[in-house]
Amino acid sequence: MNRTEELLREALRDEAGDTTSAPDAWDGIVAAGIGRSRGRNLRWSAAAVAAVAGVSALAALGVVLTDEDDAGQRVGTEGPATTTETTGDAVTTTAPDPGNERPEQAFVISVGNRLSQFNTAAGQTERPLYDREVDEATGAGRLGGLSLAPDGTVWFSMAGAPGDCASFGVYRHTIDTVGPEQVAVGAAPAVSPDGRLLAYAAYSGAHGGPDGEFYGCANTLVVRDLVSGAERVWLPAVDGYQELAAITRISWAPDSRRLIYDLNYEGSSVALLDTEVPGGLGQASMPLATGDVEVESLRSPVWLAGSDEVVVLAGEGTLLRVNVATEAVAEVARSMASYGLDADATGRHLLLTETDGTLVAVAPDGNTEVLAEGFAEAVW
Amino acid sequence: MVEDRGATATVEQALSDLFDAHYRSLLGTARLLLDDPGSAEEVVQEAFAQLWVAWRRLRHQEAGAAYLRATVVNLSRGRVRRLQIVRRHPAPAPDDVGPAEDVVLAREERRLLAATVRLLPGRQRECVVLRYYLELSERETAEALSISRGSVKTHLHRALATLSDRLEALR
Repeated sequence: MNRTEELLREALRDEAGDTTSAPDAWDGIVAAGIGRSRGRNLRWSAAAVAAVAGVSALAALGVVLTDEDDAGQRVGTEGPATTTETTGDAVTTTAPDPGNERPEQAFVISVGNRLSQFNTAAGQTERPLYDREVDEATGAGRLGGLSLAPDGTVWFSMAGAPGDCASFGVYRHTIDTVGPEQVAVGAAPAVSPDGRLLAYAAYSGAHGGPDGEFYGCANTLVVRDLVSGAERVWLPAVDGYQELAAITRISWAPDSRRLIYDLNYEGSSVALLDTEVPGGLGQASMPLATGDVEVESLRSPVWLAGSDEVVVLAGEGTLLRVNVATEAVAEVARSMASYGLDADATGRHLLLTETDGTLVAVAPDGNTEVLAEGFAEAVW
Repeated sequence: MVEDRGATATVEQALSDLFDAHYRSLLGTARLLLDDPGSAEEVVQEAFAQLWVAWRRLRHQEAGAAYLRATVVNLSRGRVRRLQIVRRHPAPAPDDVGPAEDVVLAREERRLLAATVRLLPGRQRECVVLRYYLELSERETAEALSISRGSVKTHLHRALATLSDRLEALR
């Protein structure tokens, strides 16, 4: 060990200071641990751990943070978290709107191409689900197109070899099974809220330019009935190389009839599709309208649960909420450089993936919080 | 839902053992990683509370200490990031000090090193704290930060070079 390292150790010990454990801290942890494991969320605050004082002082005021029945048996509570606030002598206990609690679980694909279960509170992965080596020269094997189905299954796509469009796959991973199951050839899977329909971008075959060189896989949009297996295919309008426009994100409306998708061709755009309207993709789709507000580079659309609203990324990372019926536009937040976006089952909490691999949670009030770094995609 | 009283007691005991063994070092870690050391206790308590909830999902309960370390680092990082976003003026660099007697010089060197650690880029600072304060191995440091062992070596090499330069300037 050299002199710098030796001094550094001493300096860090000095700087860390007196770390004598406060006996109160453990009591606070016990109160929070039991509370959270039973669906409660006691928030730490300065007096965090008023907890400490907490449990006894509040008890003296008639507020009980741990439930016990008459026989003294601990009884778990279902439902939303309870918050207890003390102001002067007044103590109020409220059950907040369940939508105020952001999801504790997410699924992520790391920069290193590993699909994992992720704990948003701890800011770290908890359980690896699937690993895949990537051919760095071609990108084959890279995971993407992450989405969650209503039944809790995780869907994703895996890039194939360039020129071999049949090697691109859509996969379903059931959490407690060994590995993923390939469901289709294509990308960008999305299961409808009623769990019946799978939408995905399919590749109808390799597309060559006039010189015979491979340019990409021709995109179509497919909706498969997961019960009957029947598929309906929308071919994009063929206009030069427009059929090469890549569909990278699909999100269903709450009615399981309409969907929104992005199309990357000489820039990115977002369009709505009514799956019950006859005709090709061009006839059944219409660009997402934003009233008098001029926006560019719309991407990563997500339809918010229980509403006629979608959120999209625009420009260099502005997060917009757009009402598809009224065309009203509102700015939700600005990020540094986001390219991935997802919303939770309540439609209130958003999850951004930034180009540097940072995961950012956006609360209903627009406040952002960095959750972790090192991820290529994330959904919750 | 009726909670298993025995299971709760088991978790509490296991967490209590971890608390006794690691609370102080985790508190020191948080103080070194946070720009607002005053919230270190809150971060460490939050890490324990999260481990409580996640306990049954751990693949190995021996992984509890590693989980706590990683959670403290992540929670500290999030707070530092938020502070960086709102901060308009960066903290000033520590002043150089002139020559002094040996004891005074040694104290100044430690003060300078501690101040310089706070100015290191995030990953370098995390590697330094985990490696030289918590005394983790390079492998353990890599696991706690979810990065490769090679990255740990690189970050430490750069951090030590910066710290050595500052010491040289002082002398």
